[in-house]
Amino acid sequence: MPDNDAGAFSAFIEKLKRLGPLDEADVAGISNLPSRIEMGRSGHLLVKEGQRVEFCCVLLRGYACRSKMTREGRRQIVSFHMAGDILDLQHLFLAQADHNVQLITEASYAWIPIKSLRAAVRNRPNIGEALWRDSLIDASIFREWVLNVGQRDSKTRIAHMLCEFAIRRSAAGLGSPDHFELPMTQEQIADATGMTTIHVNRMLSELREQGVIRRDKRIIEIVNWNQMRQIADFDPAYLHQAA
Amino acid sequence: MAIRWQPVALGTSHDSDALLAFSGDRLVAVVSKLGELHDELMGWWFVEATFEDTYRGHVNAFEQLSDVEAWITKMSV
Repeated sequence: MPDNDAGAFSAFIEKLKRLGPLDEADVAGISNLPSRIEMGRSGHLLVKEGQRVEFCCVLLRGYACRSKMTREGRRQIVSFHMAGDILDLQHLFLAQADHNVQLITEASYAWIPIKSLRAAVRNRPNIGEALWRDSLIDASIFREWVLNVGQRDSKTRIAHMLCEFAIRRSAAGLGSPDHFELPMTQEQIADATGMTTIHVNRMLSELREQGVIRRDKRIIEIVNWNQMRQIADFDPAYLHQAA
Repeated sequence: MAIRWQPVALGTSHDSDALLAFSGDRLVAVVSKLGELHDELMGWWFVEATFEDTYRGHVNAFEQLSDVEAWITKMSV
């Protein structure tokens, strides 16, 4: 397996730096991790539930989601991911995938052998700490999503999802939180919020009619952040300023 | 199972033109007619609510009312 281009992990390194201090040797340790870089189209399944996994996947460009399916084929998307995110950190210590990881746009990604990532965690405590923090923030986001899907009304769910996406995207250096293109389809938003596509469409329209957002298909502009935050019941504290 | 339809207006800001679906004297579903907001699905029938788990399924929008009736009948078996 060839060494990756040292620049390929820049978004990942920037994310880890937001999670904890990394010195030059830590950065070199990540940059020099062996990896296999691939590109895939929207819908490509990176990890399948039940699969035994020997690599961890870092998203270099594009967007992905994690999901689980009911026996009858209904899908719950449990998180969205963007450049710099490590998509399946749990495989560092858990051998078998317990959910699916799938691209929602064209994307490039790097497979890192678990053995190499484990060695980096053992040898460089700062890397271990940053990844541990990443895992804890992941859990915090999951808790917020359970609250979102379980207890919030339809408009609040959609507004909350938009706020989180805008803030995380901005934190990842992918652009302004005020104006962005949604990478996900209405069906994917529906599967992430436990709603139907019809309800998603209605709620996006209501937010537009209230003057909180402007929308042209997938292009969203958040016109009034204060009102949006209120409607969304959005307090970014659960993101711990790093996600 | 024959479905009896009864027109009703929903208290919603969109798609308020709706029908109650009765099986005998039991209300089994509420369906609304989708408006222009929904582009290519305009004019389709959307299952807003059902009242038993057995009615739950993936598909919840139908082009024809007869398709809704067939779906309700199949789901209630």
